[in-house]
Amino acid sequence: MANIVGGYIMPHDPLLFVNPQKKERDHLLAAYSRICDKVRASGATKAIIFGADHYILFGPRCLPQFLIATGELHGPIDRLPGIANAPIASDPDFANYLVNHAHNNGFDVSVARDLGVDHAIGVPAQLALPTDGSVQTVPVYMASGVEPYVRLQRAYEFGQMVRDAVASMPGDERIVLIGSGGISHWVGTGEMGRINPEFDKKVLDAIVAGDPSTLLSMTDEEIMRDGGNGGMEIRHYLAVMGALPAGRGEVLIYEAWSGGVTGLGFAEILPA
Amino acid sequence: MSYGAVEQLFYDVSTSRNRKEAFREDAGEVAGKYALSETEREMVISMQVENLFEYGINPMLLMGFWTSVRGPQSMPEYLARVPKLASRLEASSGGKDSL
Repeated sequence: MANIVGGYIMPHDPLLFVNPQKKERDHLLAAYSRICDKVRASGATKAIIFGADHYILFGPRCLPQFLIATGELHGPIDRLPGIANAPIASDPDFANYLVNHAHNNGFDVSVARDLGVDHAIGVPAQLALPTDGSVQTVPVYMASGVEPYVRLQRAYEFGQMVRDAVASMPGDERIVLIGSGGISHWVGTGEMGRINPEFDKKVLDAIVAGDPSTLLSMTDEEIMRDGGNGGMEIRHYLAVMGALPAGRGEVLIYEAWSGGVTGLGFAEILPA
Repeated sequence: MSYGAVEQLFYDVSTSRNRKEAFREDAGEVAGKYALSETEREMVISMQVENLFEYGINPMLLMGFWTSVRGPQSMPEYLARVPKLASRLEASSGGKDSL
């Protein structure tokens, strides 16, 4: 039987790679490698990465609430020093299985049959997963960066749907989940550069406790106020938590890194 | 009111090298290709980020448009001019659906 062997959350702050202020960052980059080692040790064969489009892939004429990429992948398409825009191993059969399961279970997801992903998917795919093809990725884009935003509850329920999909899937695939996104950050607003460690702690505490209720009880206005427009990406964490109910977490590293604009949290969520 | 057309213009400039170069060369001509009101056209051509932000343009898109046209070295000017998200939240607290 297929099963979910672990979940992770991690940031994708481009400034961590551009590093314009030349700040010490090796310990943060090492967190991606550490997670990659854990993924390899888990024997994972597939990865599902939840991320947000940043108005890079999808324009005003078509803004999907949920989108699953079912075909060939490459990225990140936005240039980041040290991360090549390179092929990402995919599995169209697995992706289409998820699409069909979603459609049969209350989620009318959109699809992309060929996709160059942005840094939300590309950073974790290239840094936190083996790039030798042993782990094949399915990207799930959620509307967390552009209105209308996916409701928090729906993000969590999407994770529950993924859990059910895996549980009913034939074969012995071992699947890891990644919620990609910074915690507090303000992007393109006058507050840009502000990081709110209190908000970040609240989010990470909920992940460590395996308790989604703290996050689900937030309003979008609260998130915007305390976590910024970038904080809306906690939806991706909720998707992982929905797929790993009662799974307790461990913070691998957290830092309000002065070289960037984002509360950088790396955490692991283990199956209950 | 053609809010969506403004965002489409910004998206095109941010993601298309040809459209970006065209905007740099003649912003008015590019703006003329979109169904903008006169007020919108003026905000876009003169890159009034203060007003565009208050108008409700997605901040990520607005920043992407700005840096595409002016270059990343212009970020300090952008950040000095763009309003805070808190101001938009205050403006929307009167019952507006969207932020």
